Amino acid sequence: MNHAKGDLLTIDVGAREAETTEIDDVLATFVGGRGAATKLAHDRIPFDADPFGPENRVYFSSGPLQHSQMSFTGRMNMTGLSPLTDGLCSTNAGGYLSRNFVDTGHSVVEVTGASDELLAVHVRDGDGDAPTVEFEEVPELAGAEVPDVTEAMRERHGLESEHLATVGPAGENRVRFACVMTSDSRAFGRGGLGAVLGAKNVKCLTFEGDSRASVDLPEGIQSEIHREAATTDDIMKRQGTTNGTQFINDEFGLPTRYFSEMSFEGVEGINGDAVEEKKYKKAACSMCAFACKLPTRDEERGVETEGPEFETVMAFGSNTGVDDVVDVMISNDRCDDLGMDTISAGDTVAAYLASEDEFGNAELVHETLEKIARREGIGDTLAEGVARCHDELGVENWSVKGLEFAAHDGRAIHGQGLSYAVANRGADHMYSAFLSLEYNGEVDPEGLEGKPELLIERENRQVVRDSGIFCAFSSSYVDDDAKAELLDVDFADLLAMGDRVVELERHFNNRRGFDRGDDRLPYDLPGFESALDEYYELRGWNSDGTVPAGHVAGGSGGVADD
Amino acid sequence: MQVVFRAYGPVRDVVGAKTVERELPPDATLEDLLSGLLADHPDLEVLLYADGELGDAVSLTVDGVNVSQLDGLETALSAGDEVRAAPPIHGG
Repeated sequence: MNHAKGDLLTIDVGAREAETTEIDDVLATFVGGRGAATKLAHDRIPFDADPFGPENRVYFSSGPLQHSQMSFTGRMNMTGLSPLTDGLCSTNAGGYLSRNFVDTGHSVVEVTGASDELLAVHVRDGDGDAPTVEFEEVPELAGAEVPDVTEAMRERHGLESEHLATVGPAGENRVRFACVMTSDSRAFGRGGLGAVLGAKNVKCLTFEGDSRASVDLPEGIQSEIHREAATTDDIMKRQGTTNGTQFINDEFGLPTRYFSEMSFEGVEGINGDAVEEKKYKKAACSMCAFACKLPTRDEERGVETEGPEFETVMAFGSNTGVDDVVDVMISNDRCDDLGMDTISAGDTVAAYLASEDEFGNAELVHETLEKIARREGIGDTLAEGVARCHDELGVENWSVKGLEFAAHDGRAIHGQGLSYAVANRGADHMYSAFLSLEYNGEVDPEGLEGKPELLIERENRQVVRDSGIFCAFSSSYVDDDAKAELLDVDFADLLAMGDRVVELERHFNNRRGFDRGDDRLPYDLPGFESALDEYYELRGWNSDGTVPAGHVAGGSGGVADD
Repeated sequence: MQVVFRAYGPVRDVVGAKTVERELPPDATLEDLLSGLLADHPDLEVLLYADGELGDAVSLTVDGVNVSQLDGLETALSAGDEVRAAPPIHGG
C-alpha cells in the first residue's frame, strides 16, 4: 500500500524539546492524514485531558498523495481534542502548506505541552546546520492578526504564508471555535483547534525543508486526473461551492435567521452569481489545476478576500438575514484575519442577532466578530459557542456535540440530519457528505429507511478521503478504482480502515462520557430512534452508542482493549 | 401532456429561465424533452452529454429521482412531471 512517509515529530513546547519516532506500522495501517493522526491521538491524548491543558496534543499530518504532483491533493489534516465538542476532532485545510510540510520529511507533527511565552515554532528537516525544531519567542506578536504574523515571518525568515500555520487573536483568547490559518485564507476550520494551539502559547508553526520522502505513486493515472482537472468546465471553477446556493435554497432548505426559516428571500444577493460577480481572478491549492477558489474584491467598500464559500454564505448571509454579498465578504475576511471558523462564528452571531431581534444588521455582525475574537463585552459570552451560550441568549441550541450546524439542512435532507446526529465531530456536513446523495436524487431525501447502512459507508469513505488525502471536490474525477490504484490497495480495505478510524473516534469520545444521549438533533426526524438502533447495530456498537468493551474492529490497529 | 423543466447553474444560463414548460406527446421520454430543448438551445449539448451519453456535469432528476436510477434517456415521462437539471453538489 502507498501510505504517508516519514517519522512522527513530537514537539513539547513546554519543555522546548523535540523527538522523532518511527511510526511505519501506524502509517501502513492507517494510510496517513486523519487515519494516522486519529490512531495517534486516540492512543496518546489522555482520555481525561483538558482541551486547553498541556496534556492535549494536536497533530498535523499529510497523506501519500501530498507527495504527488496531481490535482485534488492540496490538503492537510489536523487532529486533536476539541474545546468546542470536547471530543476528538479532525479538520482539513487546502492551500499550499501540504508540500512544504512533506518537505520537512515528517509524516506527522505532534504538538504537546504549554509554553510560558508566546512562540513561533519552526519545523525543518534537520538537514544542514539548522536544528529540526527551533523555538522563537514572539511576545510582540501577542494579539496579532493572521496577516501581521505572516508579515513578521516573511521579514524575519523569508517564509511566505504557505509555510505557516497561524492562530489569530481568537486562538490566543481561547475562542472555542478559533481555527488555524494557512496560505492567507485557508482554514483548519472546524472544532476550535486554533484555541488549543493558543492555549499552548503557540502563535504559529512554520514548515520548510528539502527532505521529501519518495512515494511510488503510479504515473499514468495521475496525469489522466490532472488533465481532466485542467480541461473540465465544471461550474465549480467559476463559482466554487457557492454554485449550489440557489438550488439548495429553492429546492431543499437554506437555514435562515438562526434556523427559524428554511428559505431566504434575499438569496439572489448572496448566491453563486453574486459571488462570481465579485471574483477577480482564479486561485487554487497546491498542484491543483481545478482551481475552484474564489478571490473576490469590492473596490467601493475596500474589501479583498477569498470567498465566501457556500457555508459562509449561509452562516453570514441567510442565517444572519444579510442579503448583500459584500457584507458577507467582509465577515469572511475578518474571520480569516482574526482566525475563526466562519460556520461556527456565523451561527453564533446569528444566535446573538436572534436574541437582540437584529437580523439583517450587517454592521452589528461585523462589530460582534471583533468582540468575539478579543472576548470583549458580549463577545466573551459568544466566544464559548452556541451550545454554551444559548441559555444566556434565550435561544435554541442549534448544535450537535457542541459543534454549530453546517448549511445543508437535515430537516429537508433527512439522511444528512442523521449524519449530523451520529457524527463524532458533531454537526459537520463533510463527516459523511451524505447530502450529495439526497441533493442529486440518488436517495429519497425524505425518511431514514435504509439510510444507516449507506451512512456508514459514506462515513468510512470520507475517512479514506481525509487520509489519502484527496480533496472533497475530486469525487467526479477520482473514482474508487482510481483511489485504489493510486494507493495500491483494494478499496474495500480502505473502507475497512475508515471503519476503524470512526470507531477510534467513537471510543475516545465514549471514554469522555459521550453516548447515545449525545447523538441528538434539535428537531425530529421520522424513524430517528430506529435509525440510531440500526446504525449502532451495523457498526457493531452497543445500543447506547458506545463501542463494546474489548472490541477490536478488524484486526491490528483497531480499538485496543480497555 | 405538459412537463416542467427546472434549471439551475449553467443550464439556467443557457436556457435563460428557471422554469420552462413543454408540451410533449403522451409517450414521450426524457430524450424527447432534451431534444426539444437542444433544438432551441444548442449550447446545452456540452452540458448534458459526454460521448453521446448523459454526462455527469449536470444532475438530472425526474420528480426528484436521479435518472441514472430510472431508465436514463429512455425514462418515460408523465403529465405534470418535473425534470430538474442542477449542478451536482458534493459539499462545501
